[in-house]
Amino acid sequence: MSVQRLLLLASVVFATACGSNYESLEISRVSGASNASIGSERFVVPEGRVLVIEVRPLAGRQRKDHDVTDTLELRSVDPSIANVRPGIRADTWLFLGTKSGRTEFEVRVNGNVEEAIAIDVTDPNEEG
Amino acid sequence: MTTSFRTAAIALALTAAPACTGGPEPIVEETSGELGLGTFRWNCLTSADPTCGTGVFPALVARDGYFGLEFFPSDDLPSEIVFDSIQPVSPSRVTAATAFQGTGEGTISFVAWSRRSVIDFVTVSIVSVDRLTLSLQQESPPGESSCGFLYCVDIPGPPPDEGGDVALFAGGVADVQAMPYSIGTRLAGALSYEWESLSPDLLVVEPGRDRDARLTALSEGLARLAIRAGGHEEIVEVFIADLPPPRRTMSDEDSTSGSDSDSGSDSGSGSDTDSDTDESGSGSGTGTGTDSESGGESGDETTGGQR
Repeated sequence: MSVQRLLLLASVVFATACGSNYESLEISRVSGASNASIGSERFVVPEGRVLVIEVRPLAGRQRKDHDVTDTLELRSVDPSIANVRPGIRADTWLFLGTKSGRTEFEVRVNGNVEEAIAIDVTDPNEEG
Repeated sequence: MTTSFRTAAIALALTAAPACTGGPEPIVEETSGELGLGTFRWNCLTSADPTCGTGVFPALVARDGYFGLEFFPSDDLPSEIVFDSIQPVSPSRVTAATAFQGTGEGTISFVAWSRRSVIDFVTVSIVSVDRLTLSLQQESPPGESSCGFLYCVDIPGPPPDEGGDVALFAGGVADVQAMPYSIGTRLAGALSYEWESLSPDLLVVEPGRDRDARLTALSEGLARLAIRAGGHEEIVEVFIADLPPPRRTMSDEDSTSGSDSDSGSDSGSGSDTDSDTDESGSGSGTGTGTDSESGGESGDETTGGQR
């Protein structure tokens, strides 16, 4: 299974708005549906399936120390379409394709929304 | 395998086995979660689910079939990780009341939850039944090749060839069992089965428990039998042959040797051998009768045991 990596550059918002050390996120696909995908503009998960990713926050070059008290959370805007929940392993998150449709998931650092990414839950019966 | 071999094998087992305090380990159907953090176990709710005893966690589940799942977290997990429940990712495709039921086709994942986190998940495919086969009901443990004292039948048998039929002797009775398939793969999940004789003047069918039914052949002819499960209907042709006339000159031994030739051929259901001249007992005596070679004739195709 190919590994998809995505570097999200949350730019200035992360570094200045809330004082966290996060400048970017590195997202790696771990496992899940073969026809699920991650992208800078949107994620895709088939209905009824799971996509497992690993999210690693990267500190900015200006900051040498990574503040372990910073919290990172991914949260779905509409869990009835796509649910996002943490896994047991550190930095692991699971996207659950509950019902076909489109919604977004928020990247929250220290409770503040730093980024919102679209997620499409596809109907397998409509796929080619 | 002959009767004598089985007797010897049993004797050997009895003498060689130590005094065991427990029985053999039950056969379970398990698979690791896709994250490697636990084990999922399949639960057959009734014997209508053909998965039980196979030792294989199923990949394909019949639409409308009922089933259960258990999860056993890995021993390596921290103690604070407590397993809470298993839920399907998409409730629209799988209902979850007292048991799971696949209501829509597709590939579905089931998630093992702790309180707020996901521990692990497993994935199965829910498909529609496209074939129902019949097999002679066996008394031996499921999942094993059975070469009992009466007949030899492979369990599970392969789906019959297109146009395969059941064959009975007139007046015969056969206990049969249905099996659901999709694209040649046996399907898991407990379905409800309906049976209907489309030739009531030739064949009577009495539904039994779960996947079982009893067929009674009334008179010679070609009967049709309908089996329905999982939204699929299978029409099976039942060839009913007339009983061969008894051989007047035979002794008792000889009268069974007519079936001996069958049992010799090893394929007729043993009940055939005895019931041959009587009433064709299990009704699968088609392989016998006048033609020992007919052992390969009809029942063979459909059921593997219908001889």
